[in-house]
Amino acid sequence: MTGLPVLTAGLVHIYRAEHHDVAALAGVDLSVQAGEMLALLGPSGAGKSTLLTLFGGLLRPSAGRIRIGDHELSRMSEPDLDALRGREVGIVLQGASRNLIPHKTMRENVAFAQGSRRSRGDVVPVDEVLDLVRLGERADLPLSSLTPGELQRGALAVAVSTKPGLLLGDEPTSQLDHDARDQVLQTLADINATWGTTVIVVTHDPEVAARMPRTVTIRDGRVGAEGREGEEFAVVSADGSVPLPPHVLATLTPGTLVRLVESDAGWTLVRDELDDIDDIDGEVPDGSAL
Amino acid sequence: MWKAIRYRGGQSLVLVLISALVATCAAFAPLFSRSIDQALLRATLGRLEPADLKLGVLASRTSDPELAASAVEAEIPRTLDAWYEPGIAMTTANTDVVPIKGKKPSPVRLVARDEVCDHLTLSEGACPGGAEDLLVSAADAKAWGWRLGTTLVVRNSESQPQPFVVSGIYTAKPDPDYWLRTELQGKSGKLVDYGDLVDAVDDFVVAPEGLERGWTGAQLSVDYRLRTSTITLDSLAAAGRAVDAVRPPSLATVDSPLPRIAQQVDDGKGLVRQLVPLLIAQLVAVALAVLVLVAGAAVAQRRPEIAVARLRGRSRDASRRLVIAELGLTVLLGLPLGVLLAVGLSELVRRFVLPPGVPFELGWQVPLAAAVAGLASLAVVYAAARPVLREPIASLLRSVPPATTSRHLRVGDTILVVLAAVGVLGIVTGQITGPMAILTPTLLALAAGALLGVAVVVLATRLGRRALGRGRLGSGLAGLAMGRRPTTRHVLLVVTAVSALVVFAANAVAVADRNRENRAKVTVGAFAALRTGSKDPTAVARVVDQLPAGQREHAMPVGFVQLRDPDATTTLAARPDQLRRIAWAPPAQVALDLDALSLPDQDPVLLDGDRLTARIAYDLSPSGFGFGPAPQGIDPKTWVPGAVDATPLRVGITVTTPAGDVLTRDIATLPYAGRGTGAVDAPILCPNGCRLQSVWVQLAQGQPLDAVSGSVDLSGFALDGRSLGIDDPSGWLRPRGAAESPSGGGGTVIDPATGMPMEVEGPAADSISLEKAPAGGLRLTFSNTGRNAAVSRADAPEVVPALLSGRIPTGGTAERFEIQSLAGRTTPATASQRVPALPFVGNRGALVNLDLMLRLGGRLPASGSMEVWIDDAFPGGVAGAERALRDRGVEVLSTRSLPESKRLLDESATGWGLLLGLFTALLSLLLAAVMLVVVAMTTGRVVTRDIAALRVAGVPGRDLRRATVREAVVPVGLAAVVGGACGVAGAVLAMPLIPLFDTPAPVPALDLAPSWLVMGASWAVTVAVLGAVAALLALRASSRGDIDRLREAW
Repeated sequence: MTGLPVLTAGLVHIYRAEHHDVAALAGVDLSVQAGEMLALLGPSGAGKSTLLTLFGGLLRPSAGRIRIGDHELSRMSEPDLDALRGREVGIVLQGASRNLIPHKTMRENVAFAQGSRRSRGDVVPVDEVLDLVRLGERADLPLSSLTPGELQRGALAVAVSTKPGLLLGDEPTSQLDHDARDQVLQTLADINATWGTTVIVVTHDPEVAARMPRTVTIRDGRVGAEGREGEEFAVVSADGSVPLPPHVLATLTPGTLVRLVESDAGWTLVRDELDDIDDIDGEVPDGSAL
Repeated sequence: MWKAIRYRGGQSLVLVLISALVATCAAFAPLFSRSIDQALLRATLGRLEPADLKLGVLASRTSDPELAASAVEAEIPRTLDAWYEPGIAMTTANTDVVPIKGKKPSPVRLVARDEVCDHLTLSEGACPGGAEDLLVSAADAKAWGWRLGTTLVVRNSESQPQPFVVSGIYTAKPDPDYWLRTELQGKSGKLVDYGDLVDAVDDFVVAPEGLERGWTGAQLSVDYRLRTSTITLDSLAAAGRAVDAVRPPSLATVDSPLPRIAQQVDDGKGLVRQLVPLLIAQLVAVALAVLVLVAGAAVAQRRPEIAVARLRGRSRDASRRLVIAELGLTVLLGLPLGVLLAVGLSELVRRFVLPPGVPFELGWQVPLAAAVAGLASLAVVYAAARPVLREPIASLLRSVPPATTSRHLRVGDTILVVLAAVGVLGIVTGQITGPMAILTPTLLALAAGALLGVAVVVLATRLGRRALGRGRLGSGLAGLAMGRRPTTRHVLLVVTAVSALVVFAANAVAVADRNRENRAKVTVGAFAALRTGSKDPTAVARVVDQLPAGQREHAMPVGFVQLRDPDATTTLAARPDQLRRIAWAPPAQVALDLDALSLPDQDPVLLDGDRLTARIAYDLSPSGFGFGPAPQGIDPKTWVPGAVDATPLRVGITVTTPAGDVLTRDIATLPYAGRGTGAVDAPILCPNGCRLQSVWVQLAQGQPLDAVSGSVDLSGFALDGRSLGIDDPSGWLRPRGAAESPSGGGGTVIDPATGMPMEVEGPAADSISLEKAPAGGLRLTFSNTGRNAAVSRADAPEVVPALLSGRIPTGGTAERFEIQSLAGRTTPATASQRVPALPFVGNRGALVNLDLMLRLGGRLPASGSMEVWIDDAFPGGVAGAERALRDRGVEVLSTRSLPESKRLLDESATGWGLLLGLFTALLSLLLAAVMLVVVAMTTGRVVTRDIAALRVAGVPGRDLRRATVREAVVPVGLAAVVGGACGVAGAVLAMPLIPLFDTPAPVPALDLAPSWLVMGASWAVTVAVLGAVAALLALRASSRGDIDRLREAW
């Protein structure tokens, strides 16, 4: 299995509450290449975990499309989604314990995750999976004797036990110390490098984000920005809107008139003089010039 | 799988335990039923003598004069050997013998019985060896001087003399198994009616050859003694079929009690089939309800694992299989344990409750019941798992499960409420019977528990908020926790149902026991009743009266005369004050008005001398055609009255002998007309003394007079010169109105037109009144046509007052009906009070004063008996009373006592069946306790985290402990209160539906009043046990709510 590309278009998800609805995602357009490693960033409640859940087929979008490899998720039946999770998409939920069956050893958990495919022999050997996450020597111990970092790596092992094309991780490094976090990140990198698995993780941790080749920041249910190799970009969405970076937005109250002025360096955002506001050219940080 | 089961070892253990309890209930039901059935059979067999259980074949030589008993025996199929001992053949012939020269012939029976000499002690001689040999009893040998070699001539069936020679003298060895109630001895020395009263003679034992020729009227019999140990429920039917298959020789009959026994057992089995499901079904319902809750909790705990399975690509079905496999295997593990528990319990019942001899049986019903229990448990697990497994994966993945504490009735609750309402309404209106009615108490409790759940969840939340607002942390937190925990409703539902079941079952057991005791009391009459062999009521009463102090106060003589007709009224004679003290009045009826039976103040007059003397004065005139003054229209001058040759008016007394005979003695004869005085001097002729009953006048028979009227004065009564002091009229009863004339009243007058006599209607011709004579003494003023007109002594009423139970005897009214006196004579009585039942005689009796009956005198007839009733304080109990009576020469034939009578009622299908109520109560209590443990285990993590969080928030530990305990205990208390009320309601509603006796009796009336004490005690135990369990679990949870709980941990 090589990595699977992920593509979303106008993705909307609304949580139905008793007295009101909450739009967690308000039109996400995102493309992830096969074999890419990507971190979803954003403040709490921005919708990044919802986006991850939609990628895993655990929720159905209210509108829009999701394509994982050749699969159009919004059109798939529940058994097909189950099968997709069983073969091609590995998911690591936040909190290692939620990914593991407590009365099984790590080896048994991996074997359980491989399920019926294991008997057909079309999966990676359990030992290989466990070696990949560096848990080979701890494979037969009770889970209660493993460290948090080991458990988190174990959760990763379970998620990738079927050698999926897409690995989704929700805060895979939360509640871990630095060493454990680094080991988990290294493991993700190893998985990506070894099997070409596309890796998408949700994180709050800037250091984790810094270790990822690509980051996508979700704000208010949309793609707010994207970072590549340490550089931050605004992203033009399908409807032509461009979300401003927070620090720029802080200087522009809603209703402020701006102009785009073309120059040799590109496009400059100029505040309209009618509002008695100076040219903000000099204040636009690097990277915010269009 | 095993690792999964072991991982939640405690929870798995609880699941196994509850599943085992379900299986125990299911498997115990058939085991218990079968054991009771067997016990019924054993009890029935045990109460019968070997003679009552024998198979008897009777034949005569009517068609075959040569027929021998051995030939009859040969006709009986050998298939009976499996259940019967070898037959004992016997030939008997009734004849007579002149015991001694000059005596009238006495009836005697010749007996030839298999192996008879093995069961006789021969004091002299040898067993009969020839056709002319016979054995006589030692008593007869002594009485008649018979010796070895004495020739006794009897008449054979053809009335030909047949001599026998005494070859031995026997005494029968006691051996009920052999004799089977054949009694050779016991007649010698007694009188028997054989045309005249003649001396009875014990049986002659002869050789079979002795009854061959000439004995065509001989009776042949073969008795087969039942091997009771081989008779079981299964073999009973087979034995019955074998008996039915017996085809005896012609003119022979087969008599066996097996069909009757089988019928009795079948009747009992029917009751068991009714009672056992009644109690077990309610327990199973509660057990399954607990299993539903526990399985639901177990499935809820497995939500994360189901989520992981779905996350890793397992389908819903695959996830369901995983859960069902684990929980199903767990509950199935409980099956063998449950069956073992049921078998153990059954064994305990068999050994310690049921009578000996009940076999251990593991019928096919047991595995079937266990299988049904297993399927039911699996179905419950499936039903519990289904809602969770149908949840979308996103819901399963939530760390906190969606709240399930609904504030409304769920569908299942609504169904329960509707079913309970229908059941209650149906029972009240009598429209519903059978299983639905029987299950109504439990349904009612479950419905009440469901409604209580809704009410408590709503109210607890409100009250909790209010309490928090007022700063009462403990109450506030407890209320809020109760309102939001899903398990609150589970606890309320189960504890309500269990409390109701415990109270209901305990009440059922107590009420049944009370009714059995009531019936035993009525059956016995007092703590114990010793039937004597004496027919002399006075003698028995005297013996009791002469018992030493300390015994006398606890004993009472009782006489009764009971006719064979079961509908006849039995006379029960007892002393009211003793009856009040020693006997048991039937329950649930008005108190017996024993004062109405008080003895008259007047003492009896005992005539224990030779001659009665008195002075007599008279003033008499005749009436009737040709006598007396000239009729109207006839000239008195021409009127010539008729002549009477003798002195036609008899004056006499009536006396009763100690034997109860009523005798009349003429004391004077008077002329029909005129005045005069005279002296009375008459013999009494009562060597043993007589009681003076009345004085009377009567026109002598054969006189031409129609009537004599006038007065007779009697005074100066003396016996052998000793004044009797009976001259005062106050010592005599006032005569009732005019005595009825056979002609209905009126008299004979002369027709003025024809001069011929004619009958006219008018006042009764016979009358008598009593007043004080002017010169002292008694004046009898009367008009007498020839009927005995008497004035009775006031020591005994003419009509005996009685307390009458049941129907008025045929032909009588409440004011006047007939009973049997202790002398067996028909005696007029009046009902002073009518009651449903009387001690011992039930609803067919008339209670009269024993002393009054003693004054009337008489020996008991064959249908009568004298008993001595004692209370439980008699020194030495029944044995002491028997000894006391025997020491004073009173033979005690049999004894019935309350414990024995109660035991017989206890050893019945209903008695044993209702014991299941205790099992039900205990097991349901255990189930509820287990359920509380499960709730504590399943909510433990949440509760301790809540406590930890509240601790971090600064809530004092004391408030946390208080809140935790209240959260656990208050629902238990509330549910126990509501459940107790439901138990009471169920007792009122359903007790009439429960059979309390194998054979219902009209009296005493069933007393179905709730046993408040037992219900209260059982309720208190329930509250104490469940409250303590809940409190301990809460304290444990409270102590574990430290801050570490807030961290994620395995």
